[in-house]
Amino acid sequence: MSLLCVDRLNIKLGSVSVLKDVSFSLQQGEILAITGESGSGKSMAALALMQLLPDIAKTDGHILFQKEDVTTKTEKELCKIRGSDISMVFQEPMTALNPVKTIGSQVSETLILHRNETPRAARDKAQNILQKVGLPHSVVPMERFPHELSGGQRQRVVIAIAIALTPSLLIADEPTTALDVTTQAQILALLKSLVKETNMAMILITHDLAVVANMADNIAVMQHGQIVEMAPAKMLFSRMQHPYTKSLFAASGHTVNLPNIATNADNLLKVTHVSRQYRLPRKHPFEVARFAKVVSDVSFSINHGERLGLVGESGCGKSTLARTVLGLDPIERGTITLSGHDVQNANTDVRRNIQVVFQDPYGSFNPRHKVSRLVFEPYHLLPNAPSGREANDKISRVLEDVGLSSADKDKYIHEFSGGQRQRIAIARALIIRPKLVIFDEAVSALDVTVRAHILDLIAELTAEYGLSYLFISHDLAVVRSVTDRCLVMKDGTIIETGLTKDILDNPTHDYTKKLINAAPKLPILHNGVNAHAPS
Amino acid sequence: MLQYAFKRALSLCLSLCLASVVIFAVVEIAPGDPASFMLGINAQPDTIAALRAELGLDQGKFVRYLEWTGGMLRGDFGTSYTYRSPITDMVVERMWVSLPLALYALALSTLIAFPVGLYAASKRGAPSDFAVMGVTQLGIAIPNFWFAMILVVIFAIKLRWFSAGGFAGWDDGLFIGLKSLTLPAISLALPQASILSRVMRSALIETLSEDYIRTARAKGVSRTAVLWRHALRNAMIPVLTIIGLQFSFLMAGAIIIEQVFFLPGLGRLVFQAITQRDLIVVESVVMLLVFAVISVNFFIDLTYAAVDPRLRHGS
Repeated sequence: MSLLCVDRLNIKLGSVSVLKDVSFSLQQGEILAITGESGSGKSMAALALMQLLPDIAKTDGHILFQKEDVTTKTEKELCKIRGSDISMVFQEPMTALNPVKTIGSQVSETLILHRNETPRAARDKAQNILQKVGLPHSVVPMERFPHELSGGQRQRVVIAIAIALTPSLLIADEPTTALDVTTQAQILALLKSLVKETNMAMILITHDLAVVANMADNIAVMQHGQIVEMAPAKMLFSRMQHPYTKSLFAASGHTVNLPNIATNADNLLKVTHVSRQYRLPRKHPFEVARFAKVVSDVSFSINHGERLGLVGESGCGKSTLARTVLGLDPIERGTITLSGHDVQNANTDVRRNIQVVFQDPYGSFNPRHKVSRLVFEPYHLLPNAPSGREANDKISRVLEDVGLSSADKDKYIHEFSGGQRQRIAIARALIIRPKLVIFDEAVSALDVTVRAHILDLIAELTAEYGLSYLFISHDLAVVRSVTDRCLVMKDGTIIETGLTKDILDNPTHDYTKKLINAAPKLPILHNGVNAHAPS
Repeated sequence: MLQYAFKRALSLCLSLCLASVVIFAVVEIAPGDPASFMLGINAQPDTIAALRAELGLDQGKFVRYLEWTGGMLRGDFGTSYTYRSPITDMVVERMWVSLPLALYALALSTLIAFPVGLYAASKRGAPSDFAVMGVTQLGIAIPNFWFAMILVVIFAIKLRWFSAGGFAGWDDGLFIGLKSLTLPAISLALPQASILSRVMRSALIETLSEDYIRTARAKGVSRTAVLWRHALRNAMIPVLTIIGLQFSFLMAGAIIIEQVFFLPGLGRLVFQAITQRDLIVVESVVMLLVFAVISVNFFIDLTYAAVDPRLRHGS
């Protein structure tokens, strides 16, 4: 008898069907991965198992856990199961912990709740559990608050809460999506070892096929609320049946054809010995000011027509560097010039030549402006911006260039999907034909298929607009695909630089090696069509 | 934490200095000379001049400012022009009415608002939530002096449980004193409680949609326990802000209610002093109120840090 058996589960939110006839089962000690793009119903399935669905959800079908149907249980009975027999790890470690409670108390709460432990006994046990997930008291005391921990450490606390009572089933909903590759590798290894050690079953929900490939025994692929394909991991990768699975796999390892542009040797952007520091909060009122160097003595250049990548873990100073190049952040030392003009004290003439595309396609637009106005905005940097028909033509053309239609210009931003919004962001960056574009994690928030389309678009536009760009990303596969040269950044300094291919294939610096090894890899397909060459 | 407290205390002192300058300046600019007002329109110029000299009004502004602030630091608020008695005594006497009244009303308002807000948040969207929110809407809409009169009609005139006005003083015991402040406190508390429970409800509901609430529910914490253990403390920041504002309002803004119930409070003292151009009283009482308001805010700032550990690190 399986530990968990989901039988024709249907869930409706109002009139919208979010899960349709979902059935699967799970044995003790098994890892089932559920994958699919955002909105495919992965997380809904997880919440249904916990019976933590929104109040408006209507459930039909059965979820048998240890032979009992959880859909018919009372709230009180469910509270006994949650956290003790089934627990869950969530995506966003930054917000998943209560900010006003110490991590120790959040772990021991589970023990007190289900086992009626005394606070003291619970505390001692919590300490052991935190040690088990890699947070020994000597490194991270239990009296710490969540904000005093890094993202990876917080996720370890969330895992500690989930495994405190050694549940029979652990549901991990995108547990590493918000984390760096190196941290991701650690957390995945931790989860895997916990499964092995306690023989619990795990449902791993992720959009990342590479993660799935290395972890799961069985894989279920979801699309529009349905499981379209389910098979043991090895079988699924060797004999994909469903076209959606195939397209998902192809998109995950998508490489673009980057056109060759004649680069000339004169520098477009020249960054020389740039340092940027932030003042730290003082510990006592009369303390001498202390500074944290975020970018320290960085030098590099981008030639005309060159595409430069910048990789590194979060917090290494990538985004700060981008902001200094944009002239948005002051620098303490060094110079940044674009075609010989100083960027830091630049007028609009210089500034108009650098445009940027940010990561978050939802937060980077004013929701009350129409697309035409959003896209046309950079023209206000020019002395005589076109108006009337000419302006309209320009807006239409750039929208068509990025794969939208000119009718889209009268819409508002909420009418577009994430991928479309990122196209609009690119249109906004390109409309005044800048010399340099900065892509700051521009495809990180997108689904794999959307990401593949956007990368293709960038490659196309590169030829058409003769683009030079700085492409910032933590995703090495993407950087390999769209850049010629690449910089590796660590703790505010550039530690390795060279041709992208050389760096990713033959890294010299230990840190670069570590980064490359930590990145999850897609398996090579047996039919010869490999998705992308694993590094 | 210490650094945070120190910073707040520093800003408290600066605010007080600034407030004293502003209050002094505003009163100086205000039209009407106290001496000529006190002596009437037929007074001789030399009589006025003599009185001005006696009151110290002929000295330079800077000297008077220093004398005023220096006096206050020693606890001496000067002498009232009208009553010719020390302001300190007058103020202290009135404080024994205003401060207990404000605290009483605030306690009532908080005691009502917390359960109401928690209840409405736990039942959000349900008919009982709508009903409770409807009542609080009414509580905000009803003018408190009118509500005060209704209370007097019912509880003082019809039922004779309370007196219709006046203050019995604290000499006959705590109970007698509190009893005579009960109706005024209820009338002051009604709109405050309504506002506070609405703030409480919306703060809680916002908190309930946070990720960590979902984490807690996944641990097996029940809906009710989640509200108490995880949501309440996180929802306290906006609630504390409103409580701070309400206390300041209750200290100084009780004037109409004091009038309705014939209470010898600070509000009435200021009102009378203004009509009589008793500027030194106005200055001193306003300064005192400012002090009370700023100290309350200082205290609220400290409770913020107590509630939310992220605020303890100075920045």
